[in-house]
Amino acid sequence: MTGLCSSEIIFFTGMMLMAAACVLAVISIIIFRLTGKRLRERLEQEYGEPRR
Amino acid sequence: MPQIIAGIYEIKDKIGAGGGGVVYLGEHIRLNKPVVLKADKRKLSVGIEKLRREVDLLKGLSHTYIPQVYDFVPENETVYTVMDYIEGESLDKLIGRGELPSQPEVIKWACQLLEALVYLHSQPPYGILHGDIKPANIMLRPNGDVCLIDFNIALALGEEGAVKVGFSRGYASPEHYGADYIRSHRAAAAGTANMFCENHQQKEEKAADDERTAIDEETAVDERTAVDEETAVDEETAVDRMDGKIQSDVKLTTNVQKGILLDVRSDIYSLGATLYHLLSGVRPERDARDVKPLNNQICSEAVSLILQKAMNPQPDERYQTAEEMLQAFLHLHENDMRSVRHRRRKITVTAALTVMFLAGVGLTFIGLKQLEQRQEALALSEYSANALLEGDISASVNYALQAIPDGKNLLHGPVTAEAQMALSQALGVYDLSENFKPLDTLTLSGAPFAIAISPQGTRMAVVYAYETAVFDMRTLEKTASFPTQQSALSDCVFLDETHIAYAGTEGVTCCNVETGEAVWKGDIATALTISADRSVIAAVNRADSRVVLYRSTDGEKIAERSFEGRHFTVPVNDLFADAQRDIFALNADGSMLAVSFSDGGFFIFDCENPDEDLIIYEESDYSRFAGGFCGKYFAFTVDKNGTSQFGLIDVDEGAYIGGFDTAEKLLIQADEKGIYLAAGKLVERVDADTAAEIEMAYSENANIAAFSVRGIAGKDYVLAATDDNCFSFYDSRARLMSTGTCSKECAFAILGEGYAVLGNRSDPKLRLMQLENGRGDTVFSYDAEYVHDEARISSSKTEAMLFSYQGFRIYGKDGTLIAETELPDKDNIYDQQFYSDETGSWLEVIWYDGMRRRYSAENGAVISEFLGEAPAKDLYEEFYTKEYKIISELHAAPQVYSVESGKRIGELETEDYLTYVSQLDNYIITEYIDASGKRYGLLLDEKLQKLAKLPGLCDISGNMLVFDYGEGNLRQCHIYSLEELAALGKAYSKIK
Repeated sequence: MTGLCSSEIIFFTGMMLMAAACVLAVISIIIFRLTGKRLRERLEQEYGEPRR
Repeated sequence: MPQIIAGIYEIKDKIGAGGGGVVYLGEHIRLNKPVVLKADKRKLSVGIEKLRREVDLLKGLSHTYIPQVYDFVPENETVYTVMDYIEGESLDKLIGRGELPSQPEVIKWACQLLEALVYLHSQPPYGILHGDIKPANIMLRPNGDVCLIDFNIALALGEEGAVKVGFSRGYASPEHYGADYIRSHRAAAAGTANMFCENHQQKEEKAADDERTAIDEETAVDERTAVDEETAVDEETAVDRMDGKIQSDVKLTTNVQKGILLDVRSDIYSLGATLYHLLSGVRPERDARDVKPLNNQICSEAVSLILQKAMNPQPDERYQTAEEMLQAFLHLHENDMRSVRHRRRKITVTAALTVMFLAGVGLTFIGLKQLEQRQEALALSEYSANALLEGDISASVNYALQAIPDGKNLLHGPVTAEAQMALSQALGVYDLSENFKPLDTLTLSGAPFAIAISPQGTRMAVVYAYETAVFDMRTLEKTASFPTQQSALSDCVFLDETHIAYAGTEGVTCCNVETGEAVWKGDIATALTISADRSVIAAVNRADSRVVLYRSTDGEKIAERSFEGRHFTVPVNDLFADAQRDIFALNADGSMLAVSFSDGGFFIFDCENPDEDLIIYEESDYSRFAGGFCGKYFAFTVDKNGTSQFGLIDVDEGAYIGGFDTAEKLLIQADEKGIYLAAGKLVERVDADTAAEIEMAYSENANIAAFSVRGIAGKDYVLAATDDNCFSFYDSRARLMSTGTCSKECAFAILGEGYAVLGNRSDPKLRLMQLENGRGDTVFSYDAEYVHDEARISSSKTEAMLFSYQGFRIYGKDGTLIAETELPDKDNIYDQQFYSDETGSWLEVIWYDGMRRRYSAENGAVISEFLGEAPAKDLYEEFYTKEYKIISELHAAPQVYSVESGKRIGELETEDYLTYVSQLDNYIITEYIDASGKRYGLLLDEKLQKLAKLPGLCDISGNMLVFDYGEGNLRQCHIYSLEELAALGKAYSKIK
């Protein structure tokens, strides 16, 4: 009988989760980079360049 | 005329004047460097040395945002402080012009000023307080940086010449005014504090005083000076200072009436006020409590909060150090709520994705481990099946158990159907037949030369590699071992269950197998034979030309005969090879000895009377002699020129009775039980008296290479090994009971009392099988001679119907024949189907012409009969269970569909013909007929995976599986769960 067994389902689910996490991580990095840059510009506008 | 100070500095211009003195722009004469000279008008009242020490301290200050002090020159009763000339303008000028700086600029300046304050406050030994931070005291350089000037470290000049440092209204901290809302929080460890709080009444008085001491608000500051002219003190509000510094935590002895204690927090307040002014353009209120926080139209809330804290009326509530306030500014970006939210979002998303990824890793790992375990289970199942094929039951069960994980481990997947199938097959739980079933395999340390089974079958002796080993057939343990002649010709014979004679290294030896003690010893010999009554043993050593006869009980030599130069056919190297081409047999009482020789001679010696010896062949070109005594007869076979010959001799009469030739190779077993011949695929019993031949076994596929016939419990059984590496068992009706395969052709095929041994001269493994009675419960009995195709039990469970296209019989529970019917027009019967429901059970017979007749399963009567549509010739059938619809066509795999959705789910076994499908709980049971017409069933799970093979399955009655092996009984058993199988397997392993 065809179809995946439970072990295969678990395995592929795990792989999909990892892949989804990686893809979402890439998307998040892009989004956070853009929003972070915008925020930095706004804060620099308000507070000037950050000093150490 | 230019004024020269100390011969070094030339005063160029007056650039400012204020409460502290006059400020001049000067020039270092030699260096041509512009400097600022700040002249103090007051008389010196302090010692010059003290002044110098203080200036030295000032000269030690070096910071980007503080002007450098170079020198201190007393001249003409005036003290000149020489310091850096700071280019730029003070911030108050900026404010005065209405040019309010941006918030980023203010923050930048705040950080610079705080760095300067940190530097000042950290100067040893106790820090330096500025004391008068305000916009006028902050220079804005052309490069955009600021410089904090005019920090009040005026010398402690004493009362007369005390520097009256004032404080700027709005910028000065409340402590400057001695305000009563300053509470003392000095720790006892820091020493006694001279700070005190005034009560409310005193506060009113003080407020009045404060009014009188209000600082001049005029802040005329020369554009090029850094002097704050606003710090002119109106009245005597001098604050004594020690060593030019005010310490933040020092014990300060103050004026008793005005206990004012200034510390670094005062500077912080002043800086906060300055920043307030810079941002808002409005000087803060004098009273710190009246200062309104800056709203978000003026500055950011974060900045406003910093200023609020810096300007807190309570010093303890402000930033305690400049570093603290500096950090607040430096971390504006980070502490901004937007940054915080952004960071939180990043952390949350990172955490969520990390958890997601780790969950994925975890699931992948678990899935992978489960798949690995599944693969391992599949491999172990295959090993189990292979071991079962080889007859190694122990190994088969062990492999199958290993394929079924023990506990609930996350890394173990669900038990595979293959594992369950392997275990059920290994245990043989669904084989209820009376049959020879695999017992185990015995691995010897060498290939066997000879095998013997004791008369009652409890022991087996094997001669191999220099020893004769005796095994207990019940436990398969080696119970004794005896050193043997190093020859493949060595023999052994059982006298009884406890005594064995073998070709010992020191001669023929009779031993007690239980104690291992030798009973008697004879001459050196290899070949042995024993009379049927076990009383006489004949022995010959290799190619010797003599035979010795011993009484088996005590080993006394009964007789000794010479072969007159003749000898057995012995290979040149008999270490491993045995020609096995000669007769060497005693008759029932040991009085006659039949011997054939290498020259083709064949004699029957009369052991008691040599004159009565029979010469069958003095010399011949016959070869491969075999035979034995059966009563008064001697039956033998010989080969010549590619043909085999059978001969029968009446020993008493001394006459050759008869025989025949055949092109097929003849095999013979002749003993007191009978004479059996195997030729090609057939085994027959030959009746010596009547010459009748009775078929015992017939091999369909291959020629018989070895065979054994044995009567066990009154029934004859035949074990036949064929030249296709198979072996088969037949019952007394010549019915094939079972078939198995070997890795090699079986040279040894021996039946004992309840046991069978199969082996090969080149394989140290022996395969052992045991005759088992039928298992399970017998539900019905019938005449075993009645030939039928199927058997079914009625719904009332009180009748069993056995039927075929020829007809049917109905039996009752007690075995009585209730009905028997012969079906008409048998050749045109299309199909037969047995039906069972609440109303009853019946057999429906369908003819090709469309005639349908139903026969009652209770009594065989015709229930109904009608002429319907002629059935299609395509042999298309449909089967239904609760959940599945199975469509079976001839020469195609049965297809399985879901009853609910109509979707195709899978297909069933393709090799054989599907006859029936039923469902029992979560199991599907399919019944098939194979190519040879044998019926069997398959136990399937919900996913249609095979869980067990059910040979001989004929019906399902309630929850029980019913089996028919054609033996005359219908037997039943339940479906074994996985847990039951595992328990049985473990119990088996423990026994083994």
